[in-house]
Amino acid sequence: MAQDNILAVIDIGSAETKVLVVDLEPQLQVIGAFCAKTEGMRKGEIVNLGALKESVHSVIGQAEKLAGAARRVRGACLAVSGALVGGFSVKGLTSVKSGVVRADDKDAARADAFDACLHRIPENRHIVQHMLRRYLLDRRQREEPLGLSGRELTYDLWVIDADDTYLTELYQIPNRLGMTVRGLFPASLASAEAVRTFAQIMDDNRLVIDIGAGTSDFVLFRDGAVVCTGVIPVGGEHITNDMSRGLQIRMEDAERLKIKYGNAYARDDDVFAEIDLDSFEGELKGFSKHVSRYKMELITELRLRELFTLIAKKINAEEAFSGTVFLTGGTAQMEGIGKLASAIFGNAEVRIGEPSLSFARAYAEPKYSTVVGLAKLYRDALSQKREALGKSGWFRRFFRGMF
Amino acid sequence: MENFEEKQSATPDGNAAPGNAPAGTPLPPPLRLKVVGVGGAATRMVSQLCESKAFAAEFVAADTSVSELAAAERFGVRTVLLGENITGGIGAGTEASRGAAAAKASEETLRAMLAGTDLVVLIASLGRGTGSGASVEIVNLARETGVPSVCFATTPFSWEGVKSTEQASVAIDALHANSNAFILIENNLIAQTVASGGSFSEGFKISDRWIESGVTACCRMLLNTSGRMRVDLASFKNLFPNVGTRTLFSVGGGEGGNAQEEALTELFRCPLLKTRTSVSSDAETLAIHIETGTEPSLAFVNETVQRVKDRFGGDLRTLSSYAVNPALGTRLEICVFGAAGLRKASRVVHPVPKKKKQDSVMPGGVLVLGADDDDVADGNAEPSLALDDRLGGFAETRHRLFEGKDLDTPTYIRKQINLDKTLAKKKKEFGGAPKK
Ligand SMILES: Nc1ncnc2c1ncn2[C@@H]1O[C@H](COP(=O)(O)OP(=O)(O)OP(=O)(O)O)[C@@H](O)[C@H]1O
Ligand SMILES: Nc1nc2c(ncn2[C@@H]2O[C@H](COP(=O)(O)OP(=O)(O)O)[C@@H](O)[C@H]2O)c(=O)[nH]1
Ligand SMILES: [Mg+2]
Ligand SMILES: [Mg+2]
Repeated sequence: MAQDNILAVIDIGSAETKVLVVDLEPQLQVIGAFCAKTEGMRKGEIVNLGALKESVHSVIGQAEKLAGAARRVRGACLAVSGALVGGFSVKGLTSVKSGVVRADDKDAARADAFDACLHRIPENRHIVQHMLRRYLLDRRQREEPLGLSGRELTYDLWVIDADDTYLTELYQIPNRLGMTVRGLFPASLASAEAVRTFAQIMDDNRLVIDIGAGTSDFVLFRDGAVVCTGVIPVGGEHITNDMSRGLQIRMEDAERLKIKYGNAYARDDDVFAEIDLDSFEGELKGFSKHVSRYKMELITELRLRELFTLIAKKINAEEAFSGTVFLTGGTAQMEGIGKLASAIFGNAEVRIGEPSLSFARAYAEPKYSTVVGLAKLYRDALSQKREALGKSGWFRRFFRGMF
Repeated sequence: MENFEEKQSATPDGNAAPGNAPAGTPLPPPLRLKVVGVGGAATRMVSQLCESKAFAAEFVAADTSVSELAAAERFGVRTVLLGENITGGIGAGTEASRGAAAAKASEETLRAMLAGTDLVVLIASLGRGTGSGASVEIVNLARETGVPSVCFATTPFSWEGVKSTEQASVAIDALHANSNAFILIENNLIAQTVASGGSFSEGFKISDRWIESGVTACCRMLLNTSGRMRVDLASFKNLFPNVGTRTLFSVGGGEGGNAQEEALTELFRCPLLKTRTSVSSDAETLAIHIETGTEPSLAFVNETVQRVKDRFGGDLRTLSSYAVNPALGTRLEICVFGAAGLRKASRVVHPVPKKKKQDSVMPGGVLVLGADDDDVADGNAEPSLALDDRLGGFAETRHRLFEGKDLDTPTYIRKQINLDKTLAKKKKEFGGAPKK
């Protein structure tokens, strides 16, 4: 029985795989953790399944070992990300027969939304998760329409779906170790959960962006409810790639340069600054030993500006944004990134977020946001499930995705 | 490029030639080379090449537009009108599918055109109907009929719109997967190499010039009959035994006392090295062609070849060749051609447009390999090359376009921001003196 409480929480990032082995009872607790380079994945996309399995298995193995040899982990929880993950909204509609919204009106609207969703989703894609965005009663937003009078009730649903092949391949990774997948969440939601501060009450408007190596996962909340989620296949590796090409240096050199001297703004102070590549053993030795710091910053600024603008366009298509922006993921550590994000998201307050959950104090680094949040989401969903099983009736609508 | 005389008469070949022609007699062109332009812009480029007489090959233009072809005919280019019944001879418009249909309708004419060819050099201007649609069909035909192909393709500027970019991207994947060597001329990228703020057509002119010098260098290397070292067809085929591998292609030139240094610097920084289908280092096979105005010293050739190898690789096989071309004077020109990914070629899954041809991607490739090529064909011979060592590159991933944008290409390139120019302007703004 005790084994059922042990879960491997796995975030396969394009750069690094992070695994937490957690004990779910009586309280969420990390009992083993490991993080190492991922092979066979680019931009959240599986490019070499064999290599990917091997590298992820070794990380899981290490985490298990740290958790104690006696414990064989049987369950896994995974994050999904990359260009093969999508999100869209569907609306279910019903006419309110009695003129006052009753529980069965809500059920009817919900059923209609799911019907519409099943029609929209192509055969080769699967629903990862869906959530109620809001109710509209005669086109006006209502937090809880029950008992209100009106004629037409809309159930506005946000659906996150993913490509079948991708999911099948992803599932194979834990399955091959004899683990069953018990939870599956979008990376965006997981990261958002991890950086949610205590002080923050649910009814916050916030945009959370996890900028990793190959993808940027974002989620927009209004009044605590999800408005939209998305993945842009651009991350820190693109900055490195651009530097490598623009400065004519190797990828490894570009990566080190970025981490040591990177800045999200092309600064006037750096127009004449040069960085000596010799300390990095640059490849173009004999041709050019110095790279311009300004050029490097300009390359980064252009890339990040474009990324934020893409995200701004996506969320503004849903509704004009005002609120707080949280940046997390490895690339959130870039100097000046907060200022740049603020400029693009209408001078919003920007915070650089790292996991702030008490059970994972030791993992308070931006790159661990997804994995830490994943554990929390699974645990919460589990409690909700138990609660709902205990009660009955319309509580069931809290059921999410696969639970 | 300047006009060159036919080389073989300028410098008779002293070597025993295939067929044992008596020394001193001009040889027939050793290679039946066809340079085929597909699409309106490519047709004009082929006309230019034909007019320049920089090398001896047969020039062919394949297009859907009667007027484009009529213009090309005046330069002595052989013309193939595609799908007259489909397009009515007025062009294929913006739909690649129309270009493809036109080429399919003229399949027999195209087959006849390809017959008796040792190597086809295809030039495709991607973005609109004919270039993007018909070129894919022609490369497929070449592959089917066993004619090795070297494909040069230009991509549309980002201002030409999402549709052009998308259409070109689909065509690139298909061309890359089915040609023995594939060279991309990314218009957005090469526009970086010159002063910005040029006129509208300036960008196209630069693109024309790159095509011209690329194709010329490539063909002159293959047709070289002067010099003591050369690349013949058989060895060239050995360099590119498989379709769908990644190609390294670069040209550079220098002049005067510092010619070698200049040429190498240009060669190493060539924008053709930075495209998404190319490699810029660690090529497995390499051909290095050097042209000088006067007979070079052996030490000079050796040193140059060594430095090119140090930079570009060529561990599996390297061929070097040189030619003396008096028209060059003190000028030195270098052209490098190579392939990477041969070892793992059989593991890379490329889209194959037609199902029935799938088996030709199998190890061994479409071409018959020489005995010493076993290691090339064997997919398990060695683990794949470390991609990280190259400059940039996301080529392995399948989903390159995100909502019509090629986000893997650096933003500064797509936005056509010239980094050096911007920096220089900034420096000027601050008075040219370091600010404290
Ligand atoms: N100090 C820093 N400044 C800028 N970038 C950094 C810094 N430290 C790490 N990075 C970048 O963060 C990225 C890794 O972040 P992270 O571990 O969150 O990505 P991932 O989860 O593996 O990838 P993804 O979520 O995109 O699949 C790398 O691209 C790395 O270059
Ligand atoms: N280099 C170059 N490219 C051109 C020129 N004109 C058009 N192009 C490019 O070629 C692409 C295809 O145009 P074109 O060949 O006229 O169309 P097609 O005949 O239908 O294939 C366009 O998208 C442009 O990017 C030119 O004069 N020179
Ligand atoms: Mg991540
Ligand atoms: Mg045309």
